[in-house]
Amino acid sequence: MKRVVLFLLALMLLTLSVNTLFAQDSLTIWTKYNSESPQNIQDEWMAALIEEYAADTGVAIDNVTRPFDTINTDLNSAVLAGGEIPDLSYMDTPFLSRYFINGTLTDLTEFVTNASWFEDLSPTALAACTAPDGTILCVPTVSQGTLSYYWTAAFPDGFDGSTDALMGNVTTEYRLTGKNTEQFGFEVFFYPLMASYGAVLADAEGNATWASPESVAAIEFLRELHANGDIPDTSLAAGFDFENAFKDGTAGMFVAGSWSYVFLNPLTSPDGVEFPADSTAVSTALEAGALAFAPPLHLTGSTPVSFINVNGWAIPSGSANVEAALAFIDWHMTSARNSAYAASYGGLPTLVSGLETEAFQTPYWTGVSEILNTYGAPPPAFFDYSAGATKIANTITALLLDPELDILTELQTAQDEYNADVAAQR
Amino acid sequence: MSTLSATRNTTGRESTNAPGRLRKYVSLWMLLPALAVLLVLQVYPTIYAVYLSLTRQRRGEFEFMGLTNFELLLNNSDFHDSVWRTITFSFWYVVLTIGLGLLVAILVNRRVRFSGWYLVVIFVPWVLSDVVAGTMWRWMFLEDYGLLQDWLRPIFGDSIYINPDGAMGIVIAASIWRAVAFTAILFLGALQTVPAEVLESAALDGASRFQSFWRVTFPIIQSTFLIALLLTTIRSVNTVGLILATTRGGPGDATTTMATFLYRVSWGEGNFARGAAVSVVMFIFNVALAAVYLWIITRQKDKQS
Repeated sequence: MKRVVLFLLALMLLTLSVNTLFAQDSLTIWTKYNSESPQNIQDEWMAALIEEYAADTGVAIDNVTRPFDTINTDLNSAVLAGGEIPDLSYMDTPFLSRYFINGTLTDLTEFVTNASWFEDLSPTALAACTAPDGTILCVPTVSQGTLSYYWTAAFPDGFDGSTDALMGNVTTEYRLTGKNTEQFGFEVFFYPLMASYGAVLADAEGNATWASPESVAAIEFLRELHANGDIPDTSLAAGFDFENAFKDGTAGMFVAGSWSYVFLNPLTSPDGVEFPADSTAVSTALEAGALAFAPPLHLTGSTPVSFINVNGWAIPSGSANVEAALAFIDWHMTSARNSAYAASYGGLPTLVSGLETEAFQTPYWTGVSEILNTYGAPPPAFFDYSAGATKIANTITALLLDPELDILTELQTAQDEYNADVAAQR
Repeated sequence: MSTLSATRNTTGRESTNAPGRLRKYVSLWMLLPALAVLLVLQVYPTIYAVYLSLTRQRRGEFEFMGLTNFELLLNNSDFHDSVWRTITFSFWYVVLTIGLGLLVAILVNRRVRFSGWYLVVIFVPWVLSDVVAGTMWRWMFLEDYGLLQDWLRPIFGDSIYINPDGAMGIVIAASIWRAVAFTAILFLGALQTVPAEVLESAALDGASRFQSFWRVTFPIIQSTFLIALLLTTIRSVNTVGLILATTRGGPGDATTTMATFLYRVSWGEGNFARGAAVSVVMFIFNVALAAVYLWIITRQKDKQS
């Protein structure tokens, strides 16, 4: 019996030491990218990065692909549950409030402020990674924003992103298409439009301030679009089927993000011209003059608002390989690598010098940079961002589905419930 | 007598030797693995969920906050709506799954030609994953190219999928389509235990088909019926994967049941303590339902004995 126990102990020690040995030569990261079986340029970028890192440092990256819509909560739950966590992870900064509440990320303040690239970091992007208590919880890598794509053939009188231009002369079946439901719909569609109407959706304490005449006016405009059949019904459905109306040229305008070109293909313009079935479709159509972009949809005469989503690298609390994770971040934060990531991901690099690289001198990126830099605004500072964004999105979708509901009453009810909810979490 | 005396010592007490003790507790030993699995995978998570529901997450800690999560749920209109939607969904799901399952089982039990093939066809949806089934149902109802949407347009009009009632109807239909095979198999098994002679006697006594089923067959398969009812009801309350794959709880939150609300709060918003409170409410719901059914089953057995 003693021999068996001794053998098992020896086996355990051996396993631990082998793990430690391998830990120094490997890095486990969670991303949304499928490097094993690349499906788009984001995945291809990840696969190339893994190869490059191994060649440069001898460290093998074990990339675990997580679903794009649950990666942040997966990381939160893995840390809280004491489960298997990565050494490093991709994260979206709108979720920073939840990470901060849960205490699930490592404080990177000292590392970031002492890094060689710190001075080159965009202050806006850094702010997105900074928690309410001033600690830096992530290293910003890409800054995405919203804008409008439109078919030039659909708007003979031109389109500047304003509501008047949208409601003017349009040759396509639908005036526009875009997601009108879920948190994603709030971020790319509802929030920029409502903000352009002057609606302020959160106060300094992170409470909801949804019930306002400005919000009501924006939602009334959306109701009008749906009532007139100016927007396809797929905009209210789950998934991304709403994109089809722009891809096949039946919708004139698309509520887009700087990343949309990655997924928006193949494309056929309203006059029947076909563009490639890969991520070059948008830039090809742009160069041909068939497609153009404008600031996000906004009330005529007001300043457009582009929703800015910064994402970055974060180290979960309890990471077993912090040094290797920090070394990777340091390696990755050069102008060339940062801009390569940003161009593949569909956003602007967070290192200011990254914008000067060749990748960002194309007509697409110079145009997108101008819109994002001119009109970019961070997400509303809800205390519990995801809960707030989901709640207001569901409320607005319900208002669009049922024109009989009173807009102000529904917004007030949702606002009161959300505020009571976060009061208990403070 | 000789066996009995062999296991007793001279003082008349039971033998205390080790093999005898082992034999005495052999059934307990054999149950231990199952009990351990139950404790680890069912009892512990349940107790932990109750604990979580009384806390809030704060900087890596779970702080005790009493019943606040439940109080907030009671005052949350989204949660109220999700409870009503669960009741609506469960009612139609249970009634139609049980009804159609029984009907299919009766038809197949008549041993009509190709009944084996019918069973295979009915069983296909059961083996499909929720994601595949849900995506398929979503596509069938999309306005642009949905096949069923096209067929049903004259009756239900445009965009059934984005009509809140229509979306709920689609989710119910998809769930029933998936689940009928399970109840059909259960009922078929029970129907095949009904002795043919009893049915023949009933027919000779002049009983109609309906009377024969209601007065002869149904009492025999009643236990199976109640078990199917219990399992189907619990499944209806806990359905989440298919709803998420079909509508993601939308449009808006028109198909958000308690289970999908729990998913949204926990996995969409990362609020695990609040999610745990929802799961505790669902647990009470399920236990209450199970208790009612078990009480009925026990009463039936008492009557029969």
